[in-house]
Amino acid sequence: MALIAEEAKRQFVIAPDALAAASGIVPGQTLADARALAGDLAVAAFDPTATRRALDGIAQWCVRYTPATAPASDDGVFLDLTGGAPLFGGEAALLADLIARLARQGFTAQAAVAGTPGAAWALAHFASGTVAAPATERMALAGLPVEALRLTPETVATLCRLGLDTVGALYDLSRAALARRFGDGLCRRLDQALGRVFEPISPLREIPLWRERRDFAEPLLQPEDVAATLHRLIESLCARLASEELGVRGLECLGFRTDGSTARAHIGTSRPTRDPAHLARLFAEKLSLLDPGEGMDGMVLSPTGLENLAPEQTVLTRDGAQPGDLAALLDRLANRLGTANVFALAPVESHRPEHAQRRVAPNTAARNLRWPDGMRRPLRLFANPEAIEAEALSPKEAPLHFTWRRVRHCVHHAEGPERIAAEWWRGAASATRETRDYYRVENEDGERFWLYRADETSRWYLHGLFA
Amino acid sequence: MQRPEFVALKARLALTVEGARAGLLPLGILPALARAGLHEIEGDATASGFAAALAGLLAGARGRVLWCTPRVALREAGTLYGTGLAACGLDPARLIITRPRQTRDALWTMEEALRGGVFAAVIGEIETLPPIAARRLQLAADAHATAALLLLPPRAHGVGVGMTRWRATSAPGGAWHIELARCRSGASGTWLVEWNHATHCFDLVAVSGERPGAPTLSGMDRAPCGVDCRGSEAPVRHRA
Repeated sequence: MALIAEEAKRQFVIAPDALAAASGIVPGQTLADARALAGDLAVAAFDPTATRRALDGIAQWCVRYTPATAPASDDGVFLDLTGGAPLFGGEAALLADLIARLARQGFTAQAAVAGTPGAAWALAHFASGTVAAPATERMALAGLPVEALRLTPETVATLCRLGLDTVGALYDLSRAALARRFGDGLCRRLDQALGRVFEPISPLREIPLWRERRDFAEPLLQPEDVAATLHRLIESLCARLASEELGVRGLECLGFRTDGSTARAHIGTSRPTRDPAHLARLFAEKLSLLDPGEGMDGMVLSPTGLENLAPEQTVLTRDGAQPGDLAALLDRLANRLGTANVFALAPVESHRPEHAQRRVAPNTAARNLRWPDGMRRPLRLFANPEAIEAEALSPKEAPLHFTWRRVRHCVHHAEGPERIAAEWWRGAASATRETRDYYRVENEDGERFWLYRADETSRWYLHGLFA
Repeated sequence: MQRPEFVALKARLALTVEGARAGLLPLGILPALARAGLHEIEGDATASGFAAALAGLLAGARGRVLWCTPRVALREAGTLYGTGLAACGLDPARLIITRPRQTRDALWTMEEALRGGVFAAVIGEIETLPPIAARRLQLAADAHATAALLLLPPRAHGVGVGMTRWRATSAPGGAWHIELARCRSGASGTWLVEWNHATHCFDLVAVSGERPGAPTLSGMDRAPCGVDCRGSEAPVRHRA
């Protein structure tokens, strides 16, 4: 079994599994070569987005070990274990536990612990299972191939041509010579691996630095007390955010109940803010989720996204509660109704009526959009065209009568047909492949309908209503 | 001696100025509409078109419109279609649509949007409106100088707290049959109109015997709703 991808009309192996690797199949081989080695090789297309999603999922899951986890360079996850490993019996025990738990989920993981992200990456890829003691990165990496430094393929190829095929071989060369020959990239990667420059990892979750936590000796019992505490947490967080000129894009509030369960409420904002009134108002809709139940003995408030927010910008965002602020209102609507249920329309160039518009975020101020005009299109369109019974004199004519929702309509006037051909490039969904003949028809009362006859099946549908 | 057209034009201009001062939106041949307050519009797809046209006029070039379509309304009446909205005079770029799951959320959305003070018009498709909810909407619309347009299904029972109640139904030939069934000031009337996409106003559809397109004097000197409204009560004959 191997994952393959297509590039320049040739198919390449991206990742062979253990069995395929045993037959000598390596990443980068063409599929034809791989098939020559193993005739019965099963292949699947490599899906970068699915891989990315899976990595994000693993990074989320790794939060059990540390709050600071981040997907890294498309094939791994960084965990910042600073100070947290003793809770799991030490770094080696944590590593073993991590690999075993992932194996139970069906993932074969390579993992290593080191003092820098660069060294940990190198060891995980080329010496999985290693736990490098503090300040021994130099020694641990010396024997690894130069690929371990996260270099571009070109740099690796050049280094190998020069006979510099291990990381250790680079230690004795002068930095000036390396920088001259390979640019800054190589020196930076080396410095990152050896801890000579700091390399931040960008965690999925905000690290607890910005957490606000309150523990109560007497558990809270009243929802009003929970709300009041939440307001105090928001105010104290916003005061700290102001001193650092930061704003949040979302907040998560966890409430710990005495029975061991956790209450959770989350809000999001369309742009960074540190306005306590606005944030408190967004939470007002979610307070029912923070029901104290038998009692709540702790609450934690943490930002789910931090962005820079200069003081002058807050002049615009501050007045969450005052009228005239569209963004604040849209935040409130989106928080209660769901982001997908507050939207604007944008035109799309398509012959298919149902594809000719799409929903966009309401504050994407891409205005001056050109809507096709002069086209006789209905005011209201049914997402799923409704099947109708219709009688026409011949298949190429407008119907004389039709029955929609059990009401029979006499056609007094009809315009058409307007033939809308299949958009075959849109894929295999049968509804988009058919060719339709559209008619604008008017019944005896002047009600106007948009009907079509599917060319293939000769069935009639009602697709829209005119004003 | 002044020509009658000139007199009519002067009268119309005076009404426009007076209307703007009194918070009224002049609608040409129809009685002017209060910019703040609750208006009910009952009818089929034409009611949607009429609401879109009113909202487009209320919003003008810079205002925004919120259209609240609960899931059930989307299934019953179809989704809003941008090209069709534009044809009714409501630029989709000025429009924000919300899709609440329940009536409760829809009412909350409308009230919140009215109180926000950022919309020129808030349209809501509400199947059944409890009187208290209608009252709350009317108060919010009044207090924040925003028009709330309630779209009711055909033959729905009115809530009776709004400023006006309109009935908009389709008429043969692409025309709209507009009836002002109730107005706080007691005005009422029936008109057969066409939405003129080019001039963004309602044209009176000429009934047989009249020259098509030429607005009649009786249509031009109509007073805004709340002053004196002499709508033609006689049934309008549809044009051939």
